[in-house]
Amino acid sequence: MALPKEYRIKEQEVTDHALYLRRREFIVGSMVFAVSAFTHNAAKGEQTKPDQLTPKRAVTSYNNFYEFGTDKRSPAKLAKDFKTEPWFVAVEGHCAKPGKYPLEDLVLSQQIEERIYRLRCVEAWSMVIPWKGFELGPLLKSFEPTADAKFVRFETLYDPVQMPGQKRKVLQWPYVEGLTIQEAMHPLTFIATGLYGEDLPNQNGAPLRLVVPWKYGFKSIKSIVRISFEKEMPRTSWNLSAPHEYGFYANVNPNVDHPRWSQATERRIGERGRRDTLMFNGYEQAVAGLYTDLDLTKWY
Amino acid sequence: MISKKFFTSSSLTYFVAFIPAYYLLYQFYFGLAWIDPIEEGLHGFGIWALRFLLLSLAVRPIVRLSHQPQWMRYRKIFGLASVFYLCCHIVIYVLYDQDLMWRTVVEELTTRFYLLIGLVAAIGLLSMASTSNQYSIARLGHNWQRLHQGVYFWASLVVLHFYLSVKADFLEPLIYAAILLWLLGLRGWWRMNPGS
Repeated sequence: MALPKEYRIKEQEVTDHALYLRRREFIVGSMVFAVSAFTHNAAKGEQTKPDQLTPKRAVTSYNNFYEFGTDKRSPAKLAKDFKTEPWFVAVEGHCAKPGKYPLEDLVLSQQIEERIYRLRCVEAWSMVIPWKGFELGPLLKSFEPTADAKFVRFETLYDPVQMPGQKRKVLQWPYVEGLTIQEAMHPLTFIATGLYGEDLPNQNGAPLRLVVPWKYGFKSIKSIVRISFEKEMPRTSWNLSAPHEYGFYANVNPNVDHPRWSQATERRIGERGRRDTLMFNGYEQAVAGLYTDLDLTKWY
Repeated sequence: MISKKFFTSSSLTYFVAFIPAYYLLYQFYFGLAWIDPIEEGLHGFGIWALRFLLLSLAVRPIVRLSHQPQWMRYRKIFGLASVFYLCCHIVIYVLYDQDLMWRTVVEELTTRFYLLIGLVAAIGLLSMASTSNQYSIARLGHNWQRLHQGVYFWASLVVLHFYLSVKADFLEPLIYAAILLWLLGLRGWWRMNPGS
């Protein structure tokens, strides 16, 4: 299924590399601007700013992937030799076709497409990324989940030798994330196998990762090795780490702050200033229907 | 010829203490190595402020153990360097991270506990830096000592601010906390055992 038109971010809006390299000019420019800044009112980030692709270099060298270290720069270095072949995904739980599937079998049966999505990190920065991959829904349906499959639980590889970040228990390993079955089947929910037209770099979650564009980035679990259909809500890694800060749903919501910082605005990487954070990261029309009966303040 | 005096002079120490700042400022404004100069700059200056603060606290024990009283002046130099890094940290937060949205800055500083702690520590450290000149020392007399003994308290707040700002990996702030505790313990020990 093609992405509904209103969620497509156009290719023309790409920031060219030359402009990216000049990003410091914005900063230097803002020094001058600062002199007269006391008259500058407290206007929030402009709503009308167009979305532009975040440069590939930023997307591939600035990653939160704690399996390869908690510093955002370390995954690009430490994941260099990460082995993604052969790769198997175990499918378990309430479904008719459980099993251990080789990656090729999963990917080859899917219709590969490019999708440009906003990615909003819970840390209040964001990017716009051209992913390559396929919708999660049809893949899940091929495993024939039963009526008891209310949630889908995902697991990242656990391999402390290859993933040195797992040698310290910063989070509960293996990393676990989850979605309700409705969320997992939603046409916006995506499995990425590449970005910028190329195979997924290791530091971005090779060989396959989840992308849920209306949720904070930590929901989009990387390097998936296990998918299970469950009856109960799975306990997820960040939720276990700090339940009052990271909920199971983790929908992007400018009205519900992180206890330690505001979620009302965000910094788009490569851009000067801040911009308003949009409800459900701008995908409200498509996904708000999933949460009509949910108190989003309680179920953050 | 550069005299021997130059190598032991304060100006050389100041120059060395600012080397991380030259690097950070260069990267912040012109460097291509950083993807997100605001986060990396904010963090970089914050960390160096803490490092120089602890270094300044370490001067007295080092002097005492090494019997080199002339090294005592490094305490002030490192302390002032720390406050310089602190100021950069604050400027980046207000000017670049918060984009000068004063209302948000005030709201954030007053509602987020770790920011409030950082603010209090910053006020404490700035009050020390601004009274580090000879004039203030003479004028404040005994009160100067009392004011500057607060440094251990401000340093604890700085470490706490760092600890509370971290998401999940507490190793780094805990290392700084351990160093601070060790310095505090050493001071306490010497207070109770002046002869040792």
